[in-house]
Amino acid sequence: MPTTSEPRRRLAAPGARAALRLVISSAISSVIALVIASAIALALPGCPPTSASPRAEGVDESQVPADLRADYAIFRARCAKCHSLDRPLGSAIEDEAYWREYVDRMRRQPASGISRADGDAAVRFLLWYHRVYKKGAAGDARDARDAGAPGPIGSSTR
Amino acid sequence: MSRRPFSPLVVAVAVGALTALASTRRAHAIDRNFAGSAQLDYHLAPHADGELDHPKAFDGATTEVALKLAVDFSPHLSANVKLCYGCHGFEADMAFVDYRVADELAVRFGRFSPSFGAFNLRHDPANHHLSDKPLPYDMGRMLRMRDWNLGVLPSPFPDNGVEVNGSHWFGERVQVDYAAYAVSGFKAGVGALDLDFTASHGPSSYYVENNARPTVGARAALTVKLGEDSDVTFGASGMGGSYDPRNTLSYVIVGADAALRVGRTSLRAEWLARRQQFDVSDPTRLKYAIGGRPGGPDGRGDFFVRHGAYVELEQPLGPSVDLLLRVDGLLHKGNVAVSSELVDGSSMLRATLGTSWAVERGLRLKLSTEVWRFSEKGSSGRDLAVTGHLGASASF
Repeated sequence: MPTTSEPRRRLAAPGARAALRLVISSAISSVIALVIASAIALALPGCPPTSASPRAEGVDESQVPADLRADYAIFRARCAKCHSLDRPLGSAIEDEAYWREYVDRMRRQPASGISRADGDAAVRFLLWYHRVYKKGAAGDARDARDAGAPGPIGSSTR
Repeated sequence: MSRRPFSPLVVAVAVGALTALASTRRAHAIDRNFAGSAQLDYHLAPHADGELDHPKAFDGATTEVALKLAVDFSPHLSANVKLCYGCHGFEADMAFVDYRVADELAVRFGRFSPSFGAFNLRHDPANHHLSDKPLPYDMGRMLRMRDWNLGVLPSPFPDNGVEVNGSHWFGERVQVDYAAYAVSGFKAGVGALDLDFTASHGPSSYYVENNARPTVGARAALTVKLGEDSDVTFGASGMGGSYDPRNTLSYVIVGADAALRVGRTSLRAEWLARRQQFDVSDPTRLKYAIGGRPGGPDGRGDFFVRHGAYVELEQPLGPSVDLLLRVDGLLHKGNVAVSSELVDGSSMLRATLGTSWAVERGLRLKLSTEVWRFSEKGSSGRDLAVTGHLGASASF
């Protein structure tokens, strides 16, 4: 096969007409996807969510004590940047040292945006969530602190 | 993407290693963390072309499973092992040890994906809300993957080597991350025209360096907190080395990324480019003549440059539903194999609309539709295609 300086098969570069086709095709397929999505969403309410199996990312903020909402906001914003909140919330761990270690590990991840103060806030929320909320008690931050307030992230083991 | 046979021995050894690590006696209060994920995705690709036994795209279901165990031996020493099952069968995505002197200095050695780009940290299906990856990082869910030989840097890209990394905070608002590494690098045989990603990740040529010369690379990123729930990150990455046994063919991959997060809304953008030198000893294997001024009308150089980029918006529509919009593409500049359907300047552009539902904690449904536009019609006679994904993923 001889070589050539020009391609054997080359179409015109995409122009305005091609771009229009792309936009129209995108719009049509998007509508189809949304229709299917809506149908699935409408079918889901047959199984109402519970506190043990919430149908949401995170927790219902109205259930979080007022003095822990800022901590929850930090937890949600920082942790969900890289991964779903399902893992930390789905865990059965209540141990403070575990969460301090775990959050400290996450804090060191590249571009985590988790400062030491953010890590402390996340641990405060996680302890309340696992020690109080998941057990069905409508506690407040004091409950979690009474159960063992977390020290500063990274201060005791590093 | 030829696949090697399933190896019971590999699985047995891997499961044994995980079991041994899991049964290790506790060194201190916290020492083990087990996590996993599973995703089943059905890719509806009616326009998948090619031979039935060698399709240019997978039109069907694919499964990805990952099991990860992290063990802290001491406050400074930890190990991670992650096993993955996917289209390639079982593989070790991670098997490394971290020795951390301080936040600013840690040494990692073993098998790991070296620090490159922003997406690879989220490559696990549980960590990104679309079923497939952006085109620059695609590893088999793109159309025409045979012609393109996948994207720029198929993710993940585990390799054997050592990495020195660290992170430093300036106050409470500015975080700087950095990493430098030496790994085996990608592989291909003598006289190659491109990287062989299958050989690079598989045992066909052993899990060892093929040319006794490592690939080196580095990454740096700057994260600035704009508020309690918002931040912006800018990163730059690069790696380079040789990939053939004779050390005559080089590759360099560079990338830049930016991400803005405001509340639960994320806007991400990333660009990658790979400069790939190839063998020109037999010009009849190439579509264009070699020589003259590289990039000029009278000939091409002994390399091509593959660009890839994506912009992605992730917008929650409610407590359980996320909307995802993504535009990504690839651009090939330079020579190609004479048998390839690509030309100098070939491109593909894809627009994706997707949704992700949290059905229950740990379980998500993913639905997306994709519209593809190609610069060439190719053997299919089409320059436009529509595909869809329906998937479910679980994390535990």
